[in-house]
Amino acid sequence: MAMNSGAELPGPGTGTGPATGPGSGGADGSADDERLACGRLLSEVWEAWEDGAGAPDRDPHLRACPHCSAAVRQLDLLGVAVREAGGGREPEWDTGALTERVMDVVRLELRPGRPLPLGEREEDLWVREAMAAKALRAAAETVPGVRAGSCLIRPAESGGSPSRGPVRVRLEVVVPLAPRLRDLAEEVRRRVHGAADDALGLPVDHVDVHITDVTEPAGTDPEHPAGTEEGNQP
Amino acid sequence: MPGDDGLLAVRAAEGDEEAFEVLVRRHAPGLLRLAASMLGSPSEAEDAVQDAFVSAWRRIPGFRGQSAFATWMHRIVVNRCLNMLRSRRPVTDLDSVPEPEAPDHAVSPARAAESHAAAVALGRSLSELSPEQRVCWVLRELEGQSYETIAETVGISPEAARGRVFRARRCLTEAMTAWR
Amino acid sequence: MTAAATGRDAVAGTVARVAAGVPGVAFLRPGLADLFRSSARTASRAAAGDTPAGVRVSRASEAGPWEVDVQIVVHRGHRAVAVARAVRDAVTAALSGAAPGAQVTVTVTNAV
Repeated sequence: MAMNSGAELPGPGTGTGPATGPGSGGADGSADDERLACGRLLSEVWEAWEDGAGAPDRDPHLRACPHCSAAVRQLDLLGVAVREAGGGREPEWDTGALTERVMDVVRLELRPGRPLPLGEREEDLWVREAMAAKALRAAAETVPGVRAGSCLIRPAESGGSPSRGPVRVRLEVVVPLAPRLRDLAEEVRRRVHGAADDALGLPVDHVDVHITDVTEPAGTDPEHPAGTEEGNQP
Repeated sequence: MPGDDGLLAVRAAEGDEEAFEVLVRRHAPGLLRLAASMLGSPSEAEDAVQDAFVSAWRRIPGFRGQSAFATWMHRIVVNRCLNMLRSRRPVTDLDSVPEPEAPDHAVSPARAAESHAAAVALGRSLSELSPEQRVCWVLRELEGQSYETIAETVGISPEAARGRVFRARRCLTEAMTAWR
Repeated sequence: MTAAATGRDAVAGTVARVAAGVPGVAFLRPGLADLFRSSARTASRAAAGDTPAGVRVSRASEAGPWEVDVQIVVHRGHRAVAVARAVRDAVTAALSGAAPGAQVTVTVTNAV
């Protein structure tokens, strides 16, 4: 079997497999292609078989011609071999161990984000944005059915870097479809603002809640069964 | 922790490593199978997927969600496998080709032996393809992807993808016909 | 080692010991805590001289006040600002003898 090189050239293929048939190359297509004894190009025969697998009578020649049938049978046998090979046992992947190895590296390369103020203006205490965002997202998700996405926390004032002034929170959430979406957003806002104070001590100017998507209402979403939603109307 | 990949990816991009961990656990099995098909070796597949996830963590701040996270990861893994195949020394000794796993003895012994023999023959044939042909063939034959998708994943034209798959099939049909 | 370095390392050592003992503080070095969770066998302390990770100590001039920068990881369930204040106060108190007037900055980097 000829070795195929790694380099890929435009136009006719690089490196051929088996010897090509008569009349191949040049105007008939790439040097790898083969013209069957009936005059059809192998590449076209295979393509027609692959595309028209659901409509075998589209081209009667394919079924009638012994050369084309033989070419198709070759490809079919390959498919059988692939399926048979796939019938063996799959290796047992230790996904947990792989995840731990990945996370070991990740935890060496965390991106904590900018420092945000904790406490009073005159104090010198800070919290990293990524950590604050985690706490605020968790607070948003205490509202049943709410899932938090982007959480960006920026100084509300300009000047002074890093600023000791209050921050503005921009939170994106996906919420369950509810009759009063505005009330739901307001509840999220309340809890996030509350957590900024209770869990962190982060001075917040205001919280923008953006609903980026709505999901099925409670009772139809298997992850959030009915009876746990606020404002759920029968 | 939300179930949606999109939300998790945005959070990971903003530094939430716990969200990233959920994505890793969720997508690892499928990516391991893909990498194993391309590389023919479970241990190399683990290395490829592990490196791909680490690379993804570093690059995810730039991931704006133009494609789905799964598609993005898929592309990273495919290209990593392609590079690993390219840096392999040419196979001159068939004994050095990694053998597939031993058959599952819960299946009938004859059936299992047949599967194993087919897998060995196929594995050897695959190792004789060029890296580019092998990658495109796996994506077409085992992943069922369109030529357009393959082209996008690997960074070539659909026509080039079609050509690579065709040439791969020629090599494989020759080899498997001889085996049978 | 120079006298200055010795002084700095001594201050850093005191700061690290005191800060780590404050209730609510999980670890000093960002990320090290999480390493212990998965592969303690491979975790190794960064050998940056004897300066403990998570603590940076410097001063603008020989006679000037020490500037102390502490990075902490807190336990969930503790109010971040309360733990940060407690660390600041404990460190300030511990340095009142050897390094009076030290300027202490505390940053909460993560929660576990």
